[in-house]
Amino acid sequence: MNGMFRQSMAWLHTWTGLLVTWALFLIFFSGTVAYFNEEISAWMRPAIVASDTSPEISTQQAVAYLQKNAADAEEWNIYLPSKRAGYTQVYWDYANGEDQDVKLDGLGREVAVRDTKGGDFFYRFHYNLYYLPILLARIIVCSAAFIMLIAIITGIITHKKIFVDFFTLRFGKGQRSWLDVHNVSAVLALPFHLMITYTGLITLMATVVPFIAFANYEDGRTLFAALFPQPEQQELSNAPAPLLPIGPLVVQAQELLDGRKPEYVKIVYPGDAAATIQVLVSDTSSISTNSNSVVFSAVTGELLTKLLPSGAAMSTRGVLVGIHAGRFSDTITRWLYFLSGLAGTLMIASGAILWTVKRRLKLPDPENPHFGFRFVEKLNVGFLVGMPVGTACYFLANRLMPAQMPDRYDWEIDALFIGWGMVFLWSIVRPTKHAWIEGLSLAALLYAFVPIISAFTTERNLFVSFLQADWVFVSFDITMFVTAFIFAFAARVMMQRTHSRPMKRLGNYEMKPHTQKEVTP
Amino acid sequence: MTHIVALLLLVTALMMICASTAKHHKKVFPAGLDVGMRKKLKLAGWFVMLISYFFVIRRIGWGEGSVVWFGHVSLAVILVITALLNIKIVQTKR
Repeated sequence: MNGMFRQSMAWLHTWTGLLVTWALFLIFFSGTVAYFNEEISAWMRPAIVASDTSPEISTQQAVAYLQKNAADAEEWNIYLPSKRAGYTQVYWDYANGEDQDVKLDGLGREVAVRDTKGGDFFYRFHYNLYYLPILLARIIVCSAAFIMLIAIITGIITHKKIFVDFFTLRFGKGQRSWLDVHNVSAVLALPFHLMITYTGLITLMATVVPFIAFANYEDGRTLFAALFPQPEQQELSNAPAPLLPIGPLVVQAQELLDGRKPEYVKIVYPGDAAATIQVLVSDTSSISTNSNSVVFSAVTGELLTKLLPSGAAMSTRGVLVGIHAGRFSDTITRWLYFLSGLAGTLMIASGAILWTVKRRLKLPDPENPHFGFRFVEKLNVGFLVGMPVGTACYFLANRLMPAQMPDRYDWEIDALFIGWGMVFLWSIVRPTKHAWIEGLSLAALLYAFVPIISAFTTERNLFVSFLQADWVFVSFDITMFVTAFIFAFAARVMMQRTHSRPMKRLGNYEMKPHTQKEVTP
Repeated sequence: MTHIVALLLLVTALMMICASTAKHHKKVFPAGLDVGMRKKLKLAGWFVMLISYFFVIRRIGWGEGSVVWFGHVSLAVILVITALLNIKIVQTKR
């Protein structure tokens, strides 16, 4: 009975896993990269030098800029510098719906930056994908996450000997090795995998179970208003009145909000007697992503409202989303998140490869596999190598495309998909094994080129960054080299195996670990 | 500092647990270990692991501390696996 149960669970694990493996790979890959979204954004806007100006002074600088350049706007939005993104972002809206944005450096000067989505592309791609209607994309992502949950639980049941087989990695043994890599990457970050999949579903719960929401709320807007209460909108009075000095108000807001660092300031109807200032505190000082804010009259300085998230359900959601996104993390914790995400990405990739490795041995004619097998093999190369290659193209495009090009950020993203598409085509045209080796080598080459091209096209190369103790740029460049090295290593291992043993047959890997000598390629 | 101490404690704990399993203890103790000693090692390993958890949450707090601790467990596992693999290589070469 027990054996039967485990076998059926193994079957479920194999096929649910295969069904969503490529979607999951994209979601995990982009999500892992997105843990460093602000750092990537900083790297992709090399014109801005990070500064840690205080919220008080940054707001004053931003308001001074806006008074000079956007005095007739209806709304000013100021995103203050954070520990990770050391610059101020200013957006303003006009009554006719037009909007504009600039980025200010530590001295409040406008910086001409290349138009890019930066790391936010990966953050959005993680749950909205791209080129797809958002609702469809989210349904795909949610379904994948649900099936992932099934795959994790059936995987735990199938891999019964978690503690007996603790840390077994056998290299050079074909199927066994892939199974070990799959198991180890799954077990070593198992709490992370369970947490991230479950909390991921929580972040998209309006997509997962919309019925509950719409049984109680009329439409999306009323639901949204109940979830994220907004300050009551004042009527435009059309009587001009000067703005109070903003600095002291920001300081007062910080005191009212438990001393947490302000993150965002919004000024509605600047210059009017009904002008209001809303100050939101940063979510980096607690796990929860829910934000607290206070609203002042911008003319009298009177405190109008204090908005705090209400209810146990909202707090729970805030904490769960917070654990998922890890925005509270310091640098080390962020790297730990990144490592766990990499383990998840590796687990999915090795699972997809294991499916083919396991079946190749049982094929009637291994040189001429049936369509289903070839389909999986090609998709494996297309996704597992294609997405990383595309990402490298995205970074390279950022450095190589002219700074003033129209629709620049669109082209950067297109570069990602063009690079990825090329790998896909290549994998279809070439025999699979060659496609793997060539794809991995290409990835290694492209990643190695990222910091090199960057050194030629900007003034912030690795040595300069190192001397200036600019750790974001240093870590980015080094990470690119390490990634290149890993891909090169993978390509080399693949190449050696292809040359030494064109088609490994059943039997060899059944030997006992210590008696086997011929494994070294 | 919290991060370093937590990681060191966890690596120690995992090493102890690994050394206590039938599969690994002969690598560290060529003469082998008797059952009682292996049990003690295992217990000690789990105990150190528990200590590391309480150490982290005392320093960083329950919520963030738990997240950080699980992250360090993963990192410690990576380090211990790397160590174990290298022990294996030394033995095969011999």
